Amino acid sequence: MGIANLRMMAGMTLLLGSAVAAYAQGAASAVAPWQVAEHEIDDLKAVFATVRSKDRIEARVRTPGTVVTLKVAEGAHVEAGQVLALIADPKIALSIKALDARIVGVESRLANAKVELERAEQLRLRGVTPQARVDQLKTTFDVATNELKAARADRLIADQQVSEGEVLAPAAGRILKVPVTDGSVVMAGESIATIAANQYVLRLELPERHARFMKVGEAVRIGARGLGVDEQAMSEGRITMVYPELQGGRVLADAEVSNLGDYFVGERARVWISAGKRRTIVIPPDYVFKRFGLDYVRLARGKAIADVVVQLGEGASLPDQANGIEVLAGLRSGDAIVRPAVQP
Amino acid sequence: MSEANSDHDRPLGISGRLTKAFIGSPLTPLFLLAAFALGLVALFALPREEEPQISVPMVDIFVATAGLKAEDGVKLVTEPLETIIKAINGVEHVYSNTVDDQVLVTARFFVGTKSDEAILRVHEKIRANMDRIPTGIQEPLIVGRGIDDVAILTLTLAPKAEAAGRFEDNALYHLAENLLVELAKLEDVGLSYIVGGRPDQIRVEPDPEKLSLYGVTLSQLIAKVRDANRSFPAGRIRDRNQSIAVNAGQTLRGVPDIGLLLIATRDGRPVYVRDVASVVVGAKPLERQAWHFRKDAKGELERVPAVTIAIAKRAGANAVLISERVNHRLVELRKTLVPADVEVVVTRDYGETANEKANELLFHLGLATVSIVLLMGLVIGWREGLVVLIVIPTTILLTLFASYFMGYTINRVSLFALIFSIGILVDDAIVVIENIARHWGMGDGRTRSQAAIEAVAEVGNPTIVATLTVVAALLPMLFVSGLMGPYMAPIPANASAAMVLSFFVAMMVTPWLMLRIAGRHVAHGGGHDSHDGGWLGRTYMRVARPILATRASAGWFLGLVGAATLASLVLFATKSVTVKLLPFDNKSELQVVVDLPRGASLEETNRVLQAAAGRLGDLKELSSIQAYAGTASPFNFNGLVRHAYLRADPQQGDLQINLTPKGDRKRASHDIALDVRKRLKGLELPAGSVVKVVEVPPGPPVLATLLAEIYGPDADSRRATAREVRKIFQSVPFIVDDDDSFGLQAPRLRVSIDQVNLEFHKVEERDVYDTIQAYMSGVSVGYSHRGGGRHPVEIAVQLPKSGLTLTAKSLSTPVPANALPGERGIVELGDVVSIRQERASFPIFRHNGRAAEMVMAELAGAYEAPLYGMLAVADAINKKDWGSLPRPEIRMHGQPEDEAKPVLLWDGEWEVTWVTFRDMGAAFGVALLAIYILVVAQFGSFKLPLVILTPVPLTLIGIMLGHWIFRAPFSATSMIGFIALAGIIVRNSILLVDFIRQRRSSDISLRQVLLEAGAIRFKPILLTAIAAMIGAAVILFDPIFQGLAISLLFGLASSTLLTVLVIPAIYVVLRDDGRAIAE
Repeated sequence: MGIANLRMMAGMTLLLGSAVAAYAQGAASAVAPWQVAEHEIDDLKAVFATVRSKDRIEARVRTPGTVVTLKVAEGAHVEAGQVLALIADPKIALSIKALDARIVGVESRLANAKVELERAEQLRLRGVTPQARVDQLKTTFDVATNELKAARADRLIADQQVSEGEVLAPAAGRILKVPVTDGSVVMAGESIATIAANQYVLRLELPERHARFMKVGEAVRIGARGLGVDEQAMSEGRITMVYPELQGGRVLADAEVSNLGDYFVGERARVWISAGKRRTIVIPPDYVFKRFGLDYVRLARGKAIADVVVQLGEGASLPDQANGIEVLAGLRSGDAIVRPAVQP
Repeated sequence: MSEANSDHDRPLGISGRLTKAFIGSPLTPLFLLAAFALGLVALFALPREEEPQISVPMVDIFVATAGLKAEDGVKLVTEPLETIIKAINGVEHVYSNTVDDQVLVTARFFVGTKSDEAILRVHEKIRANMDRIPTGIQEPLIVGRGIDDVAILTLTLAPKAEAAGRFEDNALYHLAENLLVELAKLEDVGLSYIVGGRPDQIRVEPDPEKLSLYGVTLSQLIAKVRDANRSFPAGRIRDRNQSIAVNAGQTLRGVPDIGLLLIATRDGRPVYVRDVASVVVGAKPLERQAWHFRKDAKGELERVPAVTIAIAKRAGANAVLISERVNHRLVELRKTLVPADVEVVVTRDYGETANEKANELLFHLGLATVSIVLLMGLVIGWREGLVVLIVIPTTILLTLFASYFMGYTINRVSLFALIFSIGILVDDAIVVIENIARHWGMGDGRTRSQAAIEAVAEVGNPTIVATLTVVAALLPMLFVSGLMGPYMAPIPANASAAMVLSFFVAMMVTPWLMLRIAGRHVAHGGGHDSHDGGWLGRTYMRVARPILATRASAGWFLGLVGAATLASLVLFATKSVTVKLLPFDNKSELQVVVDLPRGASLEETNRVLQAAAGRLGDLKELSSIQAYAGTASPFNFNGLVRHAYLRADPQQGDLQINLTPKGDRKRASHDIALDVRKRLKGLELPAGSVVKVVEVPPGPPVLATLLAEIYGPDADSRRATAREVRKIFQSVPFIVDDDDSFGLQAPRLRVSIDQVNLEFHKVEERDVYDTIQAYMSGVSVGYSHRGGGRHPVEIAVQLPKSGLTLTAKSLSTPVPANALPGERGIVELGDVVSIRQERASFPIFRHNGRAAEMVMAELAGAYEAPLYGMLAVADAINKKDWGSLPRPEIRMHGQPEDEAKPVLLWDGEWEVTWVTFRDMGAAFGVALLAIYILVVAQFGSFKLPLVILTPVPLTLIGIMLGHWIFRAPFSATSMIGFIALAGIIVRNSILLVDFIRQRRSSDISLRQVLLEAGAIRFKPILLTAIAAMIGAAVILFDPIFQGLAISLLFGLASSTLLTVLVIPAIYVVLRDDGRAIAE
């Protein structure tokens, strides 16, 4: 085989968009002809699907206040319990100070009451003081002790109030929206951030006539991102949910696809679902070559070889091979075709 | 010839006076020169063609009956239209073919009608009835095609081997466009067109799914591109005392600017054209392909894309000149316009073939002249030969001049007429020369010119009668009707003109020439063999003496000759000699026409064509093949009649097979055609396909050689009968290429609107239908103007061919919904339509208003004339068990009055054969009658002419034997020969009877008179016969005129030899005086 031949063949394979591997494979199985036959292929129907998260959760403010620090921005990944923002109320600081002062006062009062109570008990033993005095001092001591407890509890309440200003992520996921900025005043129950829970689904909308093809577990194919012209399906998914209600004449369904992580939520993707089956002739694309602006395949008739013009359709999958191309005209069932590398 | 002396003082007559006037006149040489000059002018000015052009104007009226099924189309459109057309003067046949969505009515005018007139009449009639056009039917398209639209030259453009990969057919197409414009500039170039190839196109290929996803409708896309591509004059403004034109808009350039047109905004997202469609620049996706197959260096077939330019000539122009002009210009254009890696192959050149044929025949003409001159020189004398050498060309050239005035061209038929008439026209000259020589030989003291005048006057009247008999025999053939009439017309016209002119030349020029050339020499001839007629006469006597010896022997002889004549006709009955309209010609082209069942794809057709071409690759005589799929090769005359130019469906294709020039091959095209048919046998074909090998017919073309029209009460029974008849056709071994007019019903899809869904989605029908139409057939939105001398490129919104399937994808095409203002949305096409499979109607063919199915076939093998096929088919029809079907009645001519029973009417070549032989038979009858009248006028007797006419049937012995020996069919040209022979042969018997009558006296026995008369007249009779036979012999190997040659050659031989015996024998039997022949 001459260099020119090799080059030509390489050119052809490139032209077909196949990898060089296909050529190697082609050379290996060059002699065995491919038997053209009708295959049942899915009649694929394309729809737009929107990427959605399965759950959409709001991180809400528990105490009213001012946003002191916002720790996340839109798009960020967060874990459950992560602090997203701090909300603060200036009155709490003052009341903490007052409480602290009160605790100090109550403590010194308690210390004083304790000393006096001890002294009075000593004196009673010696019989110097009357029992009534002791009892009075005991009561004073108990009151102070409880006052301190109350002040401490108040102080804890104040502390709790401070910690409730932290807004935590209720679940892991991505921040979709942060409607507040630093310094904005928020009320209790207001949302600081919208979190899309980590699990994404594709929301499909299909015309009503395809409703019967929508079943849970049915496979769907997802096109490349960006709605490019590339018709090849990128990945596969399954329908997980078919909504029982039609909206705007359309059936809604969710499909789960593994690697949607990088997708934007709300991003649209082309999804093909099978809308029935039809029989047609499908051949592997590397059997096709181009000449004079037309597509050809090489027929093998016994030992003779003839190049015939074919009209190709769109890509379709073959049962044993992922890639195939539909032949609309030019081939019959029962024809044997060989790779273009086979010379007559 | 002593009696001549006594006639010295008899009146001179027309001939004598003519001679007297011209023999000494100085005008005679001038006249001679003028005759030469005029003749030469005519020779070069007369248009040359290979075949005579038969003007059979056919006007096609196309009516688009969108949505009507064939049966409804017939009622609504075909029938009223047929009625209108039938009323037009000059229309001979009205054919109609009604299929779903289309009606074609063809008006075939009488042969000879001017085509302009025909078209005008049809136009006028249609216009006058325009108010009757049914609602929704568009104005009919009227196309008249005639013989002048047949391309005389085809040029095929194909890339050379080394550049084959670089050329696509759109590049070739645009090259062909430029080439065509250049060639169309040449004088007298007529209708020209391009076959094959596809023009460039900027195509916006919508993706229905994306349209749907973005919510953009197809009509929005189309409107966007259309509006963006506008350019128009807007008006004028005034500025600083100037008036300035304002033009608005600009056209689109190509991929980027079209792609970036903003269609709409959906969901806040801008939608550009490129989002919903891909914009490509490439060949228009037409359903046609053309290929050129040529032999590569290894001798194997190589296939490259091709585009063919067909060039016709204007009416009346000379094909040879135009072809030369085009070829000459092509030499220049090959250097400048055509790139080096594209070859331009001349695949048809009727100019060249016509010139070749004309030159070949002119050579034959010369050959015949020289042969006859040699004969004269040998038998009479070289000076007399010299006179003949001048007389023949003069007469021929004058005849050419006459045919210039009669409007005939130089073609094979008119030239054959000349060749054939040479043999006869020389007779007048021979008679005059011989008699002048005889008179000079008398030496009776008259001056040479006086003797010559008297010699001419003496033979003048019989010569006039003899000339007139030939004209009388030939001229009725001018009135043969049908297609063969104009084809054969040059023969009676030219030959008659030649005869009349030869008379005048003989009377005016010949004596003058004799006086100048042979005047000073004592001529021999004359008296010395007057009594025994030389050795020829003696031979004659030896043969004739025993026959004329007794009445019984004469009677036996007559009986024998009669029996032989009848016996010769047995050859017809045993099919040893077949009857055929015209034998096959040896042409340099063949066609293989392929019809796949309706509904087959272009690629399938292409594949069959390729496989067929592959089988012909090793044909020795092959020059090249052009394959046309989904389109037709440039049509020839045959294609014109068969409407080949309408073959543009994907399931139709043909191979144009070009053979090497005639000189370079041994086999004739017919043998090659048989070989091709054999090779194509067993070709792998889809069921219901028909492959036909089509030869250029020798004479008038017909739809099919063997054509049975089946009439009957209803379509089903007609088709059932036709299917049976086709089976019978298939069972006859020599009936090949069978086909029928109805074929198989093509599958078809019907998209119908689901009204309930339509209402639900609030969609309008119009939007749905507009979408379907735009989606399926695409919309051309205008042109991208390129400037700089480049062709504007069409911009179209159209699907690529790969997208033309009916799948979930195509049904996603959006349709505007919610027609309320401000609430527009879309639904998918699939939501509002339902699709079902159906079958297309059978086409309905009608001939003169009667519905008929056609079964067609060709004949090849044992018998090649329709008659034998018809006999075999009739036999099979009678033997067949028809079961529940009624047995069809067979009609040979004329459509049935009553269509209640199935009738098989034979048409095709049979119809032409029938009309031709019928008219020729009638012409023969008229000729006999005219000859009879002439002879009655000459002899003043009613019975004698019957004796004179007896040799006419005797020609049959020779004619039949000749055809049998040469294995040639008895054709129309044979018939012409037979009729012409009647005129020629009668002239011999006139001379013989005239001589016998003059000789008869009571002192010699009748038998003696007969014997002597025969002996003396035998030499001149034989001489003229041989001259005529020489004329015939040179055309003996022409495929078409062989019949004429055989008829003349063998008919003359048999009848000449027998006439000189039969006429005396009749005398002996009827008028014997009982006296024996003196020793």
